[in-house]
Amino acid sequence: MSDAHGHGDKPFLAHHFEDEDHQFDSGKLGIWAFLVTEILFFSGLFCAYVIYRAMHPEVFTFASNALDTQMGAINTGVLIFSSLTAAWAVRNAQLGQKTGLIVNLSITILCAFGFMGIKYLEYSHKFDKGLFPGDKYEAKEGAYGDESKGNANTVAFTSPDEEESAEEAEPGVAFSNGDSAEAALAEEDGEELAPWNDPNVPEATKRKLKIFFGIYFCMTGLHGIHVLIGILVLGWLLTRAIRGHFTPTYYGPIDFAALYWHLVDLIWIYLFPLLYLIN
Amino acid sequence: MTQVDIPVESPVRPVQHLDKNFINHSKGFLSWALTLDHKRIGLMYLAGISLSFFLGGLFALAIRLELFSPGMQFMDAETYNQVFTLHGAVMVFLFIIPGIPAALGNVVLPLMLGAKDVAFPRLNLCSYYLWLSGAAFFIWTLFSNGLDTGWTFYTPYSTSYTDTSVIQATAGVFMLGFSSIFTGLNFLVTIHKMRPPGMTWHKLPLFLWGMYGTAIMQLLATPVLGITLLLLIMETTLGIGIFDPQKGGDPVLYQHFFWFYSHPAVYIMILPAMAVVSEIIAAFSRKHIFGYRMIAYSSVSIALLSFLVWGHHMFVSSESTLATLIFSAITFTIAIPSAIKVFNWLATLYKGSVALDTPMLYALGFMWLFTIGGLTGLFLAVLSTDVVLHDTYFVVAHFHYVMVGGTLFAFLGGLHYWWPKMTGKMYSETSGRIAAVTAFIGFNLAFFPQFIMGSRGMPRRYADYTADFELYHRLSTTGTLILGVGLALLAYTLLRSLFGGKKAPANPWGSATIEWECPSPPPHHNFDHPPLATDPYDMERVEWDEEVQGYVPAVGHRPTAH
Amino acid sequence: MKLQAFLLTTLLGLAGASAGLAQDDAAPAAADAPAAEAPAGESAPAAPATIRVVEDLDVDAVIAAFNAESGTDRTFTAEERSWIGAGVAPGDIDAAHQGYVAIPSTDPNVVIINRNGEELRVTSNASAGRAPVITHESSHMMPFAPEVDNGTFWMAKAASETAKDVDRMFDFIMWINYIFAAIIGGLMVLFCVKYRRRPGVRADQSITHNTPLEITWSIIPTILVAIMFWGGYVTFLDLRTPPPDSMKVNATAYRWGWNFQYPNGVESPQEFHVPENTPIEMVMTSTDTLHSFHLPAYRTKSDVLPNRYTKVWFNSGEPGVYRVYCTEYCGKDHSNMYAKLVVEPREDYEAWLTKTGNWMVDENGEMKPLLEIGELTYNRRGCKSCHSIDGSMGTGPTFAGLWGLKRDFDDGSSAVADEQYINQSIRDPYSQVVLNANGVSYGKQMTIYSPMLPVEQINGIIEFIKSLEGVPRKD
Repeated sequence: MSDAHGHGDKPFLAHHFEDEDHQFDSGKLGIWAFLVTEILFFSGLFCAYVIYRAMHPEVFTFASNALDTQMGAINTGVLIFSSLTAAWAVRNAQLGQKTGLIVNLSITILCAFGFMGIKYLEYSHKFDKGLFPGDKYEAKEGAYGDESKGNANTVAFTSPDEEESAEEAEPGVAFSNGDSAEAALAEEDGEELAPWNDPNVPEATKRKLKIFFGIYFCMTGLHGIHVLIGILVLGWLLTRAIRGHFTPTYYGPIDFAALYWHLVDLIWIYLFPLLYLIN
Repeated sequence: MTQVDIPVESPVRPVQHLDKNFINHSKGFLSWALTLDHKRIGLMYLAGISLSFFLGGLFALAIRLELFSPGMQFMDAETYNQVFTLHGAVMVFLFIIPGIPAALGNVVLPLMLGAKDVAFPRLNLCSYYLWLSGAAFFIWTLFSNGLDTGWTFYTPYSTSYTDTSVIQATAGVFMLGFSSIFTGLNFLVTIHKMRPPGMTWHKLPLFLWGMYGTAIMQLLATPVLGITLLLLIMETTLGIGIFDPQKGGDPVLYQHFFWFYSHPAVYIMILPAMAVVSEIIAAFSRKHIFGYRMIAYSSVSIALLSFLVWGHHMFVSSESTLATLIFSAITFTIAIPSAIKVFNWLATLYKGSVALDTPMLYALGFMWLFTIGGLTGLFLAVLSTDVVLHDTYFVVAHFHYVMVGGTLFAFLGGLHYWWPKMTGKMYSETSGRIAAVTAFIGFNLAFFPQFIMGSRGMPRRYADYTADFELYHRLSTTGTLILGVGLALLAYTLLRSLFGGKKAPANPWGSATIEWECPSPPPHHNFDHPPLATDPYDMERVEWDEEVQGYVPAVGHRPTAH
Repeated sequence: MKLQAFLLTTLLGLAGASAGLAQDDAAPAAADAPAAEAPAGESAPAAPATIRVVEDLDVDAVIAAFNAESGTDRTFTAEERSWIGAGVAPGDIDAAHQGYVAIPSTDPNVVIINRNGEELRVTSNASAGRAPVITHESSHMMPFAPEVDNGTFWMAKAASETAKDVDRMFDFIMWINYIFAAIIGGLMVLFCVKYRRRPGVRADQSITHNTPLEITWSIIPTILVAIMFWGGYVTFLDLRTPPPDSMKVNATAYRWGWNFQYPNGVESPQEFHVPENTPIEMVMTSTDTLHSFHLPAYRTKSDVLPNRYTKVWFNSGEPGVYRVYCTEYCGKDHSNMYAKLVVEPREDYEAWLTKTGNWMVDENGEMKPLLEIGELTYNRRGCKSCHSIDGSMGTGPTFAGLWGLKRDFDDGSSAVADEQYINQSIRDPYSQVVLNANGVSYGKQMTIYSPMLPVEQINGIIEFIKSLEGVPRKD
């Protein structure tokens, strides 16, 4: 590890950089490039979201009922506040304010934990109601809130293309002896959605509700993993801050971690309305 | 540490060898396993990808032997499906994509910049270990249930219809993807921020232009593969229903996601190859590269255009007519910069002083094979002919001409070209040349017949075939064996040089780029002071010196003490 | 699991195998022999028998020769007799069958032979420890004789006008390829020879760029590719736009076969007959994974997707027999997923359609017995590509001796093989995946046939399995 340290009086200046500015500029370019990568990483999910929402708008509006807007809103507030403290921590580091840096980093980390705590409550609530991602999905009574039944008849399922979507969901039926296939499929649905058997909801839509939860859990889950990574990085920086590593000429890591944190925040700011606020 | 500075009082010869170099700088397993030295990381990559290439090559051999005659010879169809899948996956993900950037690029790129290391040495080591973990997952795949989805992991076969280890394999590819991203990120920042004084963008060696274009693609395309594979894993384990039609998903969406990465990935493979070839052709023609700017700009334009053509993999996958029209048109635009490069290399040979040393043989082989690969690509970009040729052996032949004939040959050329720099040893020129010519002949015999059988209708990924294709398959298998002999001779040549090779001079070929200014092999820190960069293709700057059996700065170009 | 075995045994022996291949292509068959024999154990007779059959096929003589050479004394059912030399009899020769004779049987040593008696071909999984067994369908599906001999060097003969348009574009690009390859290759060689390194001769360093030249060699390819693009697009539209009066045929792809459905409701698995000089529009879907309908003679192709319909059309042109391939990888028997396209005069086509439509009915218009329907279903619907009736293990469990057997499933439960079990296995195969003799799950291999199988055929299959009760199993 001693390889990296070539400049005796500047313990954190790596040997292959000319000076601290050079190191900082390189790091800055690196983190921006990394953030671009991150955006593209999430873009696949957003793309899947857009495609499935365009294909089945009624499924998305209806399924969104199951999400707890209040908790989502609180989490949005928590993250925005943590972004503020992260930015503040950068300022502290630039000005060499060790105490302020430690306090602001700690608040940011606490907010991140808070966010994950609320997320935990939300997830366990979903799981209680049988709203799992994928094959385990088995919505229980009331999973979509009290208003779901009303909505089901009036708002959500008046979509004109529902027949069309019901048709395209039946593989291979059009050609021959479709009865058995339909029966088989209906039976399958019956098993899956037995407790939630509102006859007004088309079978095809019921089946697709779980795609929404697939996307919901993938998006928020991946975001949650990013928050966890953020906690690890910020925690490590906190220990370094306590040991007094950062100076007005060497504060790159704080700056880069804060940029990353802002991105995590920004992604949530897109996720919240796209998932919670669409009905 | 030994002084590397060129002594003023002996103006003729710079230091050729050092007692202490990066290889013997420190000893012990950990000094390699935890090294942050880009050269050591590069050599570790080289060892890893060579083993992967060997493994992938064994699978290739098994495929070709199986296809020697119609009917099943020594595998059943299921085994064949696994073997062709693993051949593709190992070759693409473990060998070709990291091949030139991670192995050669790691060693050469900072040296070419006169830098002490890449911008983020720890990240570089992290890339290597990600690669190693990805490779470990592939080994796990191999020894659990194997993999039979084809290297493309098309849904819904991969999610619902196979019992093989799709999860291990895709998790491995996911890690390899991030390895690739971090390498690209490192190189991008290094090229931007660590150029030596005097190296403006238009004095950047073409190898670095190529690596720069590659880095852009690695950064922008690979994350999409990452998320796609993550979704695939979620689909396989949880059944979230995004790609599986039984659950309301769309398998064509997977294809779009996959090719949004994998088409740029094709250029992640070929751009570095073009970059290597540009260096070799200039060096062995002892002549300034022709049309420097056109080559440089074409690298970047290929990198950018590569993001807009993924749809040409789906001309027959129920893509809309408008989409096929657009993708076909853009696909043609990417042919132009590729053609320009070939013409420029050709013009570089004109009135040069061409020496047919081993690296040059590979570079010329590349030019021919890439020309064939590129020209036959036209059939696949034209909508009407693509309909009949899609998913036939014509496509197999086309991409082998581009990837093997292109990337592999350039990689081998680059390996021979920089071998003296990396190891400090010269290999036997005679057996190197024989190996190169054998591989070239074997390759053409192996893959040219595949064009014919493909256009006559032979579909790809077939474990068995009908008797009318027998002749072509036999030629192809014979060619493969010849290619294998060539590659074996190559491995022997290089490995032998490690033990019995002559000591390499600092600049054996007469190239004018900076990496040849430091001794062979370079010291741990490459250069004590950043050298001054001038035109990287000013070949008159160096001249042959009998005493060191290499090139030294010519009179009037000798560096002064720093 | 198979892969490890393969890795450990075959790859280590590659040197030997390649040496064998270099000598003679019979070597692989010889290499198979020990693998085939060893696990088959005491019940398997010695090496497969080869029978030479010549032009004038006498079924009785074939059977006699078979029994003589294999040292057995088996009798052939009427159905089996009809398979012998299928397609070789005068008047029934088509490209698909020409040159090959298939002899199916439940004996483990039955083989497929070349009509000229030269070569022994074993198409099924001889290396997996099974004796080489070939069933009727898969054996005659595989060895298509050369489709058309009089195509060009590059392409098989085009069967329609649109296909000829595609070929014209192909030839145009090929000529451009020849010209550019000649220029580039020629100059490369010329420069390497003429400007080879010689003592005292230096490279001309003054040539670093030449803007007019570079612009020229950028513009000329641009013009050429623009022409190609446009020409290709126009023909592509032709390939994708069926005439309004085309005859519609539906096709369903499954693993691993094709089912063609005609407008009058007639279904035909694997064989696709159309009248001559008629535009045919195919509407296709898949019941499982992706497939692709590839008709090289008509230069057309389209992927076939589950839950979606894709279309492809062609003008049938002159009578002939052509191959349909699956070109999208779909698993184990991807390379056996052929169908046969027969273009024939309209009256022949109509006769065939009537005959095919009535396959469950005998000459008097009466429903055939369930057992016969079951056996025909087994042969027509692709059951046989995975489920043997001779007791050997295939992709799926064998039908031999299945009836009344206790079946263990991979979820730990079990059931007795009765009507209910068989019905459910066909309709919802993944609900009860059975374990093989080694305790390994067969996995989700089974095609979901339920949308295609009417109840008579399922009942027939049940009868058919009943009829195989007590046949020894080897799985």
